[in-house]
Amino acid sequence: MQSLRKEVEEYFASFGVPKSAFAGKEFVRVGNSIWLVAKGLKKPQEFNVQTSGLRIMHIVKWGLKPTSFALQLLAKHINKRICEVDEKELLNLIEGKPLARKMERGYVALKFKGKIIGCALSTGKKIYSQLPKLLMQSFKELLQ
Amino acid sequence: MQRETLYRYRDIISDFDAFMQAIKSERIVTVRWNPHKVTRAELIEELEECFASVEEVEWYKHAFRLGKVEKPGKTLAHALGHYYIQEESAMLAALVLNPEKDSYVLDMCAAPGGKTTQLSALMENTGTIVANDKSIPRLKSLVANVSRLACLNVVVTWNDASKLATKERFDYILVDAPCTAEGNLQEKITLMPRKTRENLSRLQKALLRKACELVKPKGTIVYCTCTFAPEENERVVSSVVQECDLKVLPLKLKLPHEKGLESFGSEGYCSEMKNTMRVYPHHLNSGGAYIAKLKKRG
Repeated sequence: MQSLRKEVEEYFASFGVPKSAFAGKEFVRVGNSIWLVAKGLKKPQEFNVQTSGLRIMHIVKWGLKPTSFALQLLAKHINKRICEVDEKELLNLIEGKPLARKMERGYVALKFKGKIIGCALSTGKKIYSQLPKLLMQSFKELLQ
Repeated sequence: MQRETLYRYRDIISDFDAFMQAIKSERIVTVRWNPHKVTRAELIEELEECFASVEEVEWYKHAFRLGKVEKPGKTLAHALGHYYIQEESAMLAALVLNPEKDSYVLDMCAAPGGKTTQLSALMENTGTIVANDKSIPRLKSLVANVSRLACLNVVVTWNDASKLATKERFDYILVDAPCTAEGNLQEKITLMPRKTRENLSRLQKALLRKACELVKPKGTIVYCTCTFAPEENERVVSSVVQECDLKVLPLKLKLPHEKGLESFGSEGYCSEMKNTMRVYPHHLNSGGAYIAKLKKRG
């Protein structure tokens, strides 16, 4: 459990997020997801549990992938690996078109109108949206 | 058979004209601040950028009135979970329950999550809220809202709350019961058929009885609906209070309301019903609500 915390904290440190951002919270791995939960969160017995807390990471074959909701929650701490986009660029990303941008490879935090809005993937030369469908739909409605 | 109308309640609502006028007028949009994601000051700044009028709600510092707005959810701040659109009347039940930090809470009929996310904010993202619903489509909206608002202390579950068989015992339980939702009527004044009301009344009793079983001794239950029908309110609470070992606590919220009924037509309810609260649309220019706060004797 300690190594999971260390691994996640180190990952988010690459975005500039300090360990203190996770104080009083716990990480729980369920399948290929990591969830951030309140300290001591109970799992009720004899209930059909759907979700517990907030899914903050997916474990993918090449490592860890942050969720857009995690990046939004940690927004005030994020000061690295930021990809700032304007309206046109965001709309293109939502429509599945990559954005030409030189950035370090890996996952990045999308910033729009001064706010961290979610996750994208940098291949080094191009950026691809990793925003979940519901969030993309909300942003699309805002931009139209 | 001709359906009943809101005139059914003419004798129990003290200012019936104001009530009918409020039913027919457009309601003010209110939103609730989500402290998990932004500070209150940051939200005020965001709201003022998007809306012409932003007024603080005097009885609840987490809430803001935006006036008559068409699409209050079409903002970046909403998409990012900085606020939740919720009528003032719908904000009352969680405030009445007022769970302590680190407590164990059950929200029996939680979707779409307005009250769950408010409880999460009141508990400062500590403890555990079991947010349950039995409807899969509604569960999706619950999960979406819990994620959008970053509630770390919420466990979403899928069960028929009236039939829960569990050894878990909770400090606080919210029974936001399915109801005929007369409090949400606007312009239309026709009520649901009597049979629907009677069926719901039975389900509501089953839910409240189950809550009584699942709450710890000295634990608190809040029963609420968004309807005016006494059959779904005082009848349910009065009946279960007499069956189970529950005390009806007086409510301390200082806002316009009417006391719960001790009778309706030929039906009598226990005298403790005067400790319960009826909020009508003209009280807050919002929907209607009925709220009862119950304590299990130790």
